[in-house]
Amino acid sequence: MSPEEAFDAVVASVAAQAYLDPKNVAIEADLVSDIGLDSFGVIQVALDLEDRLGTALDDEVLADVRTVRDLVRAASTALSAGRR
Amino acid sequence: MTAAVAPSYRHLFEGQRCRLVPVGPEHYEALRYLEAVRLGSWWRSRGALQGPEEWVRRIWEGTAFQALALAPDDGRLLLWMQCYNADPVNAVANLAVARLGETVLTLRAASGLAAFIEYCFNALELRKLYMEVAAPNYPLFASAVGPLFIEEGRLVDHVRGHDGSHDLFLLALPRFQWEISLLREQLLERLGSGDS
Repeated sequence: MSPEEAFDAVVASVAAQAYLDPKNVAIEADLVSDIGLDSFGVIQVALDLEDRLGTALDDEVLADVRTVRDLVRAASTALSAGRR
Repeated sequence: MTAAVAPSYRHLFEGQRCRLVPVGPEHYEALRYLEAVRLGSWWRSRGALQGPEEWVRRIWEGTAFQALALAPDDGRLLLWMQCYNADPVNAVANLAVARLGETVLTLRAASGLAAFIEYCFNALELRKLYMEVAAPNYPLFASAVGPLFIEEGRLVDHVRGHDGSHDLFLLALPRFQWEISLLREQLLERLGSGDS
Protein backbone atom coordinates (compact mmCIF):
# COMPACT_ATOMS: atom_id res chain seq x y z
CA MET A 1 0.00 0.00 0.00
CA SER A 2 1.38 3.40 -1.01
CA PRO A 3 1.48 6.45 1.34
CA GLU A 4 -1.35 7.95 -0.73
CA GLU A 5 -3.47 4.87 -0.21
CA ALA A 6 -2.67 4.96 3.51
CA PHE A 7 -3.87 8.55 3.61
CA ASP A 8 -7.06 7.58 1.78
CA ALA A 9 -7.61 4.73 4.24
CA VAL A 10 -7.31 7.09 7.22
CA VAL A 11 -9.73 9.59 5.69
CA ALA A 12 -12.18 6.80 4.85
CA SER A 13 -12.02 5.39 8.40
CA VAL A 14 -12.50 8.77 10.06
CA ALA A 15 -15.30 9.78 7.68
CA ALA A 16 -17.13 6.49 8.19
CA GLN A 17 -16.99 6.69 11.98
CA ALA A 18 -17.93 10.40 12.13
CA TYR A 19 -20.59 10.17 9.40
CA LEU A 20 -18.75 12.79 7.34
CA ASP A 21 -18.16 13.23 3.63
CA PRO A 22 -14.48 12.27 3.14
CA LYS A 23 -13.99 15.59 1.35
CA ASN A 24 -14.74 17.32 4.65
CA VAL A 25 -12.02 15.52 6.64
CA ALA A 26 -9.19 18.04 7.03
CA ILE A 27 -5.65 16.81 7.61
CA GLU A 28 -5.15 19.19 10.56
CA ALA A 29 -8.48 18.36 12.18
CA ASP A 30 -8.40 17.22 15.80
CA LEU A 31 -10.19 13.88 16.06
CA VAL A 32 -12.04 14.88 19.24
CA SER A 33 -12.57 18.64 19.18
CA ASP A 34 -12.99 19.09 15.41
CA ILE A 35 -14.27 15.74 14.13
CA GLY A 36 -16.35 15.07 17.24
CA LEU A 37 -15.15 11.56 18.05
CA ASP A 38 -15.10 10.30 21.64
CA SER A 39 -12.72 7.65 23.04
CA PHE A 40 -15.01 4.88 21.82
CA GLY A 41 -15.11 6.50 18.37
CA VAL A 42 -11.31 6.75 18.18
CA ILE A 43 -11.05 3.05 19.06
CA GLN A 44 -13.55 2.24 16.29
CA VAL A 45 -11.51 4.31 13.81
CA ALA A 46 -8.32 2.50 14.82
CA LEU A 47 -9.98 -0.92 14.44
CA ASP A 48 -11.41 0.00 11.04
CA LEU A 49 -8.07 1.43 9.93
CA GLU A 50 -6.20 -1.74 10.92
CA ASP A 51 -8.64 -3.73 8.79
CA ARG A 52 -8.15 -1.40 5.81
CA LEU A 53 -4.35 -1.42 6.15
CA GLY A 54 -4.13 -5.14 6.86
CA THR A 55 -1.63 -4.40 9.60
CA ALA A 56 -1.61 -3.49 13.29
CA LEU A 57 -1.05 0.07 14.43
CA ASP A 58 1.71 0.61 16.95
CA ASP A 59 0.08 1.31 20.33
CA GLU A 60 2.96 3.57 21.37
CA VAL A 61 2.34 5.75 18.29
CA LEU A 62 -1.43 5.47 18.70
CA ALA A 63 -1.20 6.82 22.25
CA ASP A 64 -0.01 10.17 20.87
CA VAL A 65 -2.56 10.51 18.05
CA ARG A 66 -4.59 13.71 18.27
CA THR A 67 -5.19 14.78 14.65
CA VAL A 68 -5.90 13.20 11.28
CA ARG A 69 -2.28 13.93 10.36
CA ASP A 70 -1.10 11.99 13.45
CA LEU A 71 -3.24 9.07 12.35
CA VAL A 72 -1.74 9.17 8.84
CA ARG A 73 1.69 9.07 10.49
CA ALA A 74 0.61 6.10 12.62
CA ALA A 75 -0.63 4.33 9.47
CA SER A 76 2.62 5.02 7.63
CA THR A 77 4.68 3.79 10.58
CA ALA A 78 2.62 0.61 10.74
CA LEU A 79 3.00 -0.04 7.01
CA SER A 80 6.75 0.57 7.19
CA ALA A 81 7.08 -1.85 10.09
CA GLY A 82 4.88 -4.43 8.33
CA ARG A 83 3.17 -5.42 11.52
CA ARG A 84 0.52 -8.18 11.91
CA MET B 1 -5.37 -12.22 48.25
CA THR B 2 -4.94 -13.18 44.61
CA ALA B 3 -7.69 -14.69 42.51
CA ALA B 4 -6.87 -17.93 40.71
CA VAL B 5 -7.67 -18.11 37.00
CA ALA B 6 -9.11 -21.33 35.61
CA PRO B 7 -7.05 -22.81 32.75
CA SER B 8 -9.98 -22.48 30.36
CA TYR B 9 -9.69 -18.68 30.57
CA ARG B 10 -5.89 -18.43 30.24
CA HIS B 11 -6.18 -17.25 26.63
CA LEU B 12 -7.85 -14.06 27.87
CA PHE B 13 -4.92 -13.33 30.17
CA GLU B 14 -2.01 -14.07 27.86
CA GLY B 15 -2.59 -11.84 24.84
CA GLN B 16 0.30 -10.70 22.71
CA ARG B 17 -1.03 -7.16 22.68
CA CYS B 18 -2.21 -6.93 26.27
CA ARG B 19 -1.69 -9.18 29.28
CA LEU B 20 -4.04 -9.46 32.26
CA VAL B 21 -2.75 -10.21 35.75
CA PRO B 22 -4.99 -10.79 38.77
CA VAL B 23 -4.28 -8.17 41.44
CA GLY B 24 -2.08 -9.55 44.20
CA PRO B 25 0.05 -8.36 47.14
CA GLU B 26 2.95 -7.55 44.82
CA HIS B 27 0.84 -4.77 43.27
CA TYR B 28 -0.54 -3.18 46.43
CA GLU B 29 2.13 -0.56 47.02
CA ALA B 30 2.05 0.74 43.45
CA LEU B 31 -1.75 0.68 43.24
CA ARG B 32 -2.18 2.45 46.57
CA TYR B 33 0.15 5.19 45.37
CA LEU B 34 -1.50 5.48 41.94
CA GLU B 35 -4.96 5.54 43.46
CA ALA B 36 -3.98 8.47 45.66
CA VAL B 37 -2.14 10.55 43.05
CA ARG B 38 -3.96 9.66 39.82
CA LEU B 39 -7.51 8.63 40.64
CA GLY B 40 -8.59 10.56 43.71
CA SER B 41 -12.33 10.97 44.05
CA TRP B 42 -13.05 9.45 40.63
CA TRP B 43 -12.37 5.90 41.78
CA ARG B 44 -14.43 3.65 44.05
CA SER B 45 -12.53 5.00 47.08
CA ARG B 46 -13.96 8.50 46.42
CA GLY B 47 -10.53 9.91 47.33
CA ALA B 48 -10.30 8.31 50.80
CA LEU B 49 -6.73 7.93 52.06
CA GLN B 50 -6.13 4.91 54.27
CA GLY B 51 -3.31 3.01 55.91
CA PRO B 52 -1.91 -0.02 54.03
CA GLU B 53 -3.91 -2.69 55.86
CA GLU B 54 -7.18 -0.79 55.73
CA TRP B 55 -6.57 -0.02 52.07
CA VAL B 56 -6.07 -3.72 51.21
CA ARG B 57 -9.24 -4.60 53.09
CA ARG B 58 -11.16 -1.95 51.18
CA ILE B 59 -10.03 -2.89 47.66
CA TRP B 60 -11.27 -6.43 48.28
CA GLU B 61 -14.48 -5.44 50.02
CA GLY B 62 -17.30 -6.59 47.75
CA THR B 63 -14.82 -7.28 44.96
CA ALA B 64 -15.44 -10.49 43.05
CA PHE B 65 -12.41 -10.17 40.79
CA GLN B 66 -9.83 -7.54 39.93
CA ALA B 67 -7.02 -7.52 37.42
CA LEU B 68 -4.43 -5.28 35.83
CA ALA B 69 -3.93 -4.85 32.10
CA LEU B 70 -0.23 -4.69 31.25
CA ALA B 71 1.70 -3.98 28.08
CA PRO B 72 3.42 -7.30 27.27
CA ASP B 73 6.67 -5.76 26.04
CA ASP B 74 7.65 -3.60 29.01
CA GLY B 75 5.05 -4.58 31.63
CA ARG B 76 3.68 -1.05 31.76
CA LEU B 77 0.48 -0.77 33.77
CA LEU B 78 -2.40 0.27 31.50
CA LEU B 79 -5.63 -0.41 33.39
CA TRP B 80 -6.88 -1.44 36.81
CA MET B 81 -10.22 -3.20 36.50
CA GLN B 82 -12.55 -4.41 39.21
CA CYS B 83 -15.74 -6.46 39.16
CA TYR B 84 -17.60 -5.76 42.39
CA ASN B 85 -20.97 -5.92 44.13
CA ALA B 86 -21.70 -9.21 42.38
CA ASP B 87 -25.27 -10.36 42.91
CA PRO B 88 -25.41 -14.09 42.08
CA VAL B 89 -29.20 -14.22 42.37
CA ASN B 90 -29.76 -11.65 39.65
CA ALA B 91 -26.43 -12.44 37.92
CA VAL B 92 -25.33 -8.81 37.83
CA ALA B 93 -22.22 -6.97 39.05
CA ASN B 94 -20.51 -3.60 38.79
CA LEU B 95 -17.48 -2.83 36.67
CA ALA B 96 -14.87 -0.20 37.53
CA VAL B 97 -12.04 0.70 35.15
CA ALA B 98 -9.16 3.07 35.86
CA ARG B 99 -6.79 4.16 33.10
CA LEU B 100 -3.32 4.45 34.62
CA GLY B 101 -0.50 4.26 32.10
CA GLU B 102 -1.76 6.13 29.04
CA THR B 103 -3.55 9.42 28.58
CA VAL B 104 -5.84 8.05 25.86
CA LEU B 105 -7.54 4.69 25.44
CA THR B 106 -5.35 2.66 23.05
CA LEU B 107 -6.24 -0.52 21.21
CA ARG B 108 -4.09 -2.61 23.53
CA ALA B 109 -5.84 -1.23 26.62
CA ALA B 110 -9.26 -1.61 24.98
CA SER B 111 -8.37 -5.23 24.15
CA GLY B 112 -7.44 -5.80 27.79
CA LEU B 113 -10.74 -4.34 28.91
CA ALA B 114 -12.59 -6.58 26.44
CA ALA B 115 -10.77 -9.63 27.85
CA PHE B 116 -11.69 -8.61 31.41
CA ILE B 117 -15.36 -8.16 30.49
CA GLU B 118 -15.36 -11.49 28.67
CA TYR B 119 -13.85 -13.19 31.71
CA CYS B 120 -16.36 -11.64 34.12
CA PHE B 121 -19.39 -12.58 32.04
CA ASN B 122 -18.23 -16.18 31.66
CA ALA B 123 -16.30 -17.07 34.81
CA LEU B 124 -18.72 -15.30 37.14
CA GLU B 125 -21.77 -16.30 35.10
CA LEU B 126 -23.20 -12.79 34.85
CA ARG B 127 -25.92 -11.52 32.58
CA LYS B 128 -25.27 -7.81 33.04
CA LEU B 129 -22.47 -5.48 34.11
CA TYR B 130 -23.14 -2.00 35.48
CA MET B 131 -20.82 0.99 35.36
CA GLU B 132 -21.14 4.18 37.39
CA VAL B 133 -19.95 7.02 35.20
CA ALA B 134 -19.39 10.57 36.47
CA ALA B 135 -20.87 13.25 34.21
CA PRO B 136 -17.47 14.67 33.11
CA ASN B 137 -16.41 11.18 31.90
CA TYR B 138 -19.66 10.44 30.08
CA PRO B 139 -18.66 12.24 26.83
CA LEU B 140 -15.56 10.03 26.56
CA PHE B 141 -17.70 7.16 25.31
CA ALA B 142 -21.14 8.64 24.76
CA SER B 143 -21.26 7.14 21.26
CA ALA B 144 -21.17 3.65 22.83
CA VAL B 145 -24.43 4.34 24.66
CA GLY B 146 -27.03 2.72 22.48
CA PRO B 147 -24.86 0.41 20.35
CA LEU B 148 -23.31 -1.24 23.43
CA PHE B 149 -24.35 0.29 26.76
CA ILE B 150 -27.81 1.12 28.01
CA GLU B 151 -28.28 4.18 30.20
CA GLU B 152 -30.40 2.85 33.04
CA GLY B 153 -30.55 5.94 35.20
CA ARG B 154 -28.94 8.71 37.13
CA LEU B 155 -27.87 7.90 40.69
CA VAL B 156 -28.84 9.83 43.79
CA ASP B 157 -25.16 9.65 44.80
CA HIS B 158 -22.72 12.26 43.44
CA VAL B 159 -18.96 12.34 42.96
CA ARG B 160 -16.98 15.33 44.19
CA GLY B 161 -14.12 16.58 42.04
CA HIS B 162 -11.89 19.60 42.45
CA ASP B 163 -14.41 21.53 40.35
CA GLY B 164 -17.49 20.63 42.34
CA SER B 165 -20.10 17.91 42.54
CA HIS B 166 -20.99 15.79 39.51
CA ASP B 167 -23.91 13.56 38.60
CA LEU B 168 -23.36 9.82 38.35
CA PHE B 169 -24.93 7.87 35.49
CA LEU B 170 -25.63 4.17 35.62
CA LEU B 171 -24.77 2.41 32.38
CA ALA B 172 -25.53 -1.26 31.82
CA LEU B 173 -23.81 -3.71 29.51
CA PRO B 174 -26.09 -6.71 28.94
CA ARG B 175 -24.27 -9.93 28.17
CA PHE B 176 -26.33 -10.67 25.05
CA GLN B 177 -25.49 -7.24 23.64
CA TRP B 178 -21.80 -7.78 24.38
CA GLU B 179 -21.75 -11.22 22.78
CA ILE B 180 -23.25 -10.07 19.49
CA SER B 181 -21.22 -6.87 19.23
CA LEU B 182 -18.67 -6.46 16.47
CA LEU B 183 -16.51 -4.51 18.91
CA ARG B 184 -16.10 -7.57 21.15
CA GLU B 185 -15.09 -9.71 18.20
CA GLN B 186 -12.61 -7.11 16.92
CA LEU B 187 -11.01 -6.38 20.29
CA LEU B 188 -10.64 -10.03 21.32
CA GLU B 189 -9.14 -10.76 17.91
CA ARG B 190 -6.68 -7.88 18.48
CA LEU B 191 -5.73 -9.36 21.85
CA GLY B 192 -3.65 -11.83 19.87
CA SER B 193 -4.14 -14.77 22.18
CA GLY B 194 -4.53 -17.14 19.26
CA ASP B 195 -7.64 -18.58 20.82
CA SER B 196 -10.31 -15.91 20.64
